[in-house]
Formats: sequence, C-alpha cells, structure tokens
Amino acid sequence: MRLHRRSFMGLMLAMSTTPRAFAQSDDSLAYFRRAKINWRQAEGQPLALGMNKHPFTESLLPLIPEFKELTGINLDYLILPENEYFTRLAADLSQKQGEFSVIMTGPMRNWQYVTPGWIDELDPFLKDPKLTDPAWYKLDDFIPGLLSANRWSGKIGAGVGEGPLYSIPVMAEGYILHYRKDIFDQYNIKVPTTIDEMAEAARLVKKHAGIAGIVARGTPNVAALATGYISGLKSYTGGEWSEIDSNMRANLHDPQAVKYTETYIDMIRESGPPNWANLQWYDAMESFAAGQAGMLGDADIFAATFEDPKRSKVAGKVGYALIPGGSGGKTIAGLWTWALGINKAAKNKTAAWLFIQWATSQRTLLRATLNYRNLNPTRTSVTTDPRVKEMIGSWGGGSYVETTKKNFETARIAWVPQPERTRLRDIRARAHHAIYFKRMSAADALKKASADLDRVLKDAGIRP
Amino acid sequence: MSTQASARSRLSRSAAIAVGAFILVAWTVFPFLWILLTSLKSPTDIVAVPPTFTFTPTLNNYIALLFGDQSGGGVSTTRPDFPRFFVNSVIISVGAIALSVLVGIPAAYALARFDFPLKGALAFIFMSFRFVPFIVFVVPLYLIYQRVGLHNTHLGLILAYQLISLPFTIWLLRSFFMEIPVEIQEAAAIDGCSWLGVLTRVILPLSLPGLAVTVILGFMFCWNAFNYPLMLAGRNTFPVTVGAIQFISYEQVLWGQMAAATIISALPQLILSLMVQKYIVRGLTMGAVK
Repeated sequence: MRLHRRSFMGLMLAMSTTPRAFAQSDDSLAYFRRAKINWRQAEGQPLALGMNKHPFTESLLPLIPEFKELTGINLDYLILPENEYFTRLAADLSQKQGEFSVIMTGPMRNWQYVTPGWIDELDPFLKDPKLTDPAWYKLDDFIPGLLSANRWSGKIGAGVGEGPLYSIPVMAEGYILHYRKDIFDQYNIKVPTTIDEMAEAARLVKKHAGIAGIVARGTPNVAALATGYISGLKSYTGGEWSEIDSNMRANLHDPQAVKYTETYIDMIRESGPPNWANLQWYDAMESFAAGQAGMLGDADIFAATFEDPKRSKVAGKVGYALIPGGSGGKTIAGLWTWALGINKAAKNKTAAWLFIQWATSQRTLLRATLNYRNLNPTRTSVTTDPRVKEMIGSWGGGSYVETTKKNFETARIAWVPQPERTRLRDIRARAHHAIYFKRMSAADALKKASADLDRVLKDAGIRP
Repeated sequence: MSTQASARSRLSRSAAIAVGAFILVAWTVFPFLWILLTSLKSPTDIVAVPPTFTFTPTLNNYIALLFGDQSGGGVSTTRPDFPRFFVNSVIISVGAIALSVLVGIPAAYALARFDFPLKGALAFIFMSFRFVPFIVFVVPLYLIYQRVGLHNTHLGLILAYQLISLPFTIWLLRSFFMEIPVEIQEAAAIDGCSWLGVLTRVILPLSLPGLAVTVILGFMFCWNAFNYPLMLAGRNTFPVTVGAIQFISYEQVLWGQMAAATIISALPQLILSLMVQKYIVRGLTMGAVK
C-alpha cells in the first residue's frame, strides 16, 4: 500500500514537472529499441543507484518509468549533495557491500577507487555485442578530451587518458573567466590575458566601480583551489608545471609557481572581498550574481545562474573569456566531469550497464540538457543541437559558447594522479592562507608546503 | 533626597536590566527570525547585498517544499520528498525516545536505588556512549545493518538512535529518582508495595516533571541527529536533517527552500517546548534548593 502510494506520487510529480518527457515516451522507446541489443536481458532485477545531487540526476527521475518499460529493471536510488554523497559512497565501496550498483564518480575520484579495486573497467561492457550496440551508442560522439579524462593506466603519477575507461561522462565543467562586461566597457578596462593584467583589471574595477575587483573561493577545503587558481597556474607555466614532478617530488616551491601564487594572492588581498578566506564556492558565485564583484575565475556552468534573471542581478551583463594565460597566451584550464561507473561489488552488472547505456545515450543526455540545463554537454551531438544552441547561444553575447568550446580543446585534468590528493590540497590551502594573512612570504610558505607534501608522499609509500 | 536618589538608581537599574534582556532576546531570536525572513524571500532578494528587510513576501518556497512547484526555484529541481522526511523524523524520534524511556526507567531506577557490584562502572559505560565519536559505531553498524536487513528501515534507526538518547535518559532519570527521599519509598514498601509498585505508584508520579524534561530533550537530540541517518538511512527513511541538505545542488543552493524546511522542522520542537516549558524549568531546577 505504501509502495503503491509512493509510486503514484512519483508519477504525479513526473507529469507535473516534465510533460514533454511523457509526450515523447512512445517515440523514445522506439528510439532505444533501434539498438541491436536485448534491453530486457536483466528483466525483473533490482538496481540501486548512488547519485550526487545534480541537474543530470534530476533529469533522470521523470524518465524512470520509461526505463522500467524498456528494460523491466526495478530502479531504486539515493541522492545526496556532494560531500555527504562521497562519505556514504566511501562506506559502501570500502566495505564491498554493493549497496549501489551504479555510482556517480569522475576522474580524480576514480584514482582513489581504482587502486584498491573498488570500481569496474567499462571497456569489456562496451566491447560485448550482447550488451552494447556500438553503431547505435556512438561512443565517438563524446568529446574526446572528456572521455579520455576518465581513463587511467593505474600508474601513480602518470597515465591519465591512457588505459581502461572507468566511467562515462555525463557533464563537464571547465574553468573560465566570468567578468562584468558592462563595467569593463564603461571604464575601458581591458579583458585580461595575463595574470598581471588580471591584477590590474581587478584594481581598476575596485577603484572605479567600488565593488570587489575579483571574487574567488577561499575556504581551506578540498574544492577551494581546484578551479580558477590552478587553471591560471597551469596556463602561466605553459602546462609544464605540476604540483608533483615526474620523480614524485613536491614541486609547489617552483620559482614560477611562487611568482604566480604571489601575484594571485596579492590581487585578492588588494582587490578582493575582505572575507575571502571564508568563501565557499556558492558564496563566490552568489556574490558575483548579486553584482558584488568584477571578475570570477571559476566553473563555466555558473553562467546558468548568472544568466537567469530570477536568481541574478547581472543577467545579460556578463562576459566570458579564457582564464588568463602566461606570456605565451595559451590557456590550459582544469576540468571535471561527473561520470557514471560500476561498483565492483555490484551483484547485477548487466542491469547496471544497461542503465548506464540508457542514461548516457544521445537521447537521454539531450533531454537532460534541454529540460534540466545539464551543462556542459559531453556529447558533440548535444552541443551542436539547435535547441541547445538556442538556449545558451545568447549568453555573454555568444561569448559563453565560444569560450567553453575553445576551453575544452586544451583543458585537461589539472592534477597528478595519486591517492593523497585531499591532504595535498589541505597543505596548499594552509600555505595560501599564510601568504594571504602575511604570516609568511610566498617563497617560504610554498617551500614549507613542499616539504610537508614530501613527507605525506613518503608516509603513504607513494615515493620511496 | 536620599529616597529620590535611591528611586532614581532603582529606575536606572531596571532600565539597564530591560536593555540587557532586550539584547539577550534579540541575540537569541535573530537567527530564527533571519531564517524566517529568508524563507519568505524570492531568490534575488535572498542574495541581495546589503540584506533587504523590505521585500514582497512569497510563499513559493513553502509551496515548492510541500507540493513540488518549481516555478520559484530555478531550473534545477527538488522533489517534494520533504513531507515524507518529516513523517520519518516523527516516527524515528518518537520511537527512539519511547524505547529509551521504556528501557531507561528500570535502568535508572536500579542505578539510583539498588546496590550491586560494578554499579558505578556500569553507569559510566552508559555515559561513555555519549562521548565516543559516532564514527566508531557507525561503520560496524553499517555493515551489520546491511547483513541483517535493518539498513534503510525505521526500526534500524530507532535502534541506532539509542546511542544518542538512552545514555542521556538513564542519567537524567537517575538523578531525578535520586532526588526523591528514600523515606517515601520505604513508607510505600511498608504499606505493602513491591519494588515495581514503588516505581510505578510513587517514584514515577513524583518525577513526572523530570520525565517530561527527559522526553523533550531526548526528542530534540533525536530530531537533530544527522550522522547516523546519513549513513544508515535511505531515500525512504531520511529524516528532515538529512532532507534539509538536499537543497544544496550542484551549481546552486536553494536557500529559500532550505530556510522553509528549517522553519517547518523546528516547529515541533518549538511547540513542544512551549507546551511543557513550566515542567522544563521546574525539572531543570528541581533539587536546586533543598
């Protein structure tokens, strides 16, 4: 009885939120049945999904009846926000319980899960003609850089983009510069292409417009350094620099890294908001959306908020550009993809793969972007769909589409694959706060951070 | 002259107390008021800098929360799971505190009135559950629950919540029981009461205020629990605490709905505390003056 009521409620909701999905249902089933596989080979099996709270996830919920009709698989799911999701997922994976068969993961997460053998390689599923129709599924429709970011050879310190595929990307974010085009135009400020120009632009915005010249994440947690800062540093060094060198030695104190970090943090101290050290990603995003800052170097998908007049005071006033590069002018930004993978302890892997194939098919991903603004798309066919172009084409006078496209051509995973990433970022965040509060010079703080990191790498047995 | 001066000083003293009291009340009420205002704002008003106090109030956040209308909340959506989360919270918290009281009364009575070996150590062991970090219990519980099928069930959570409410119940009730003079108990025994009779006919009625305090405070602890349900519950059994964080999405936070959820979640505690306020004050100060 209770179950009945629940599914009824779900149905009502699905109908009230996305009538389109239902109207297309028959059409949709015909589309999936064109794949030359038996969709009902796992009929009647239960399948549990562990998902992050995300527009992509939400786009799937109204489609669950369709998946059930197509496959006969009984879906159950758990959705949590990122931090809580990864806590819960770690419990499941590490205890090898197989609570969730399909999980939401991504490149840097995979590095932690591959070494202890917690997740499955997906290539065998892709190659099995009983499970996948390659002509229908069109793996090569995925943007190459995004797919290869989810490959890893398993070798610590190298091999991203090589070896087995561990997850299939459903969304991608790259890091770009969001700036207030109206203010830049009004005061004749040049859109920066180097870190020095960026510092100068921040100063000018603060002086003329009386708001923070730049806003950025600043809390000492995991996410704080992963976006605009690291993208700028990678670009500044022409992609040569990594936080750990090829001998697995910490390289935070590299002279170029010191110089860039110093300029970056000085810029934030001089022209940024006074409470930088306490800003979460959403604080940074919302303060930009509220018109309180001139620039933000962060996830491109924040544009969805900035361009929505219901949530933003700067809709139509934002310009988008590549993160300022080095003297060579080439930008090498970081990126992240949310992706679907399979828990190695899962009991019903055929059902799990059928779900992934359905959820990452052209049609499902297109619907996620059109109906739920799942950005940025990972399939070329979605990016080039006229309806998607219509949706985001006007953002920043066209500069959003142009910038993200260009950005993904050179963007790559900014980190060296190793399992101690969380501690690395804690160490570095402490160094940044020490520089910001003038407790240490940039050179000293980063030298100390390098020494600390070396110790961590040694303790973890990553370096002899 | 002197009477005038003393009257003036009395006046200024009560004025000072009034100001102090006002600051204290404002200090206490402000966060609640702030959340209440946020829950009535539209998204642009919420992020407005400086914060605005004059805005057109909207019930959209509450409507979205309870009925799932997304018109006020942008594109990324939140399913209206909230009503179910609320019911879960009620079931689990009431169940947990009922079980705690049921088990805790005899335990507290024994610890208060009977002498047996290792009594002190036993009482301490109960207490120690309160200051061991939850993570020590939660991983084994996760494994056991997965195996025996208690995972994602109300019963499983009610049992896990005993780690929160039972030690607290035992210790609080024990101290209330100890307040009651032994002579009353002995008189009842002389009149022919068994020890159970003493407990149910004499001790419990006398410690009703204490019992009320225990139930209310225990209920609040259970209602506010976050870590156990995060790890041990599922979609069908999440309480409001875990439910409230569902408003943090990937590229946005639905502050308005989160605030609305907070207000609704706080209501039961607020109503309960107001209802039994006089018991709480009496209970907390019981035995303060002998």
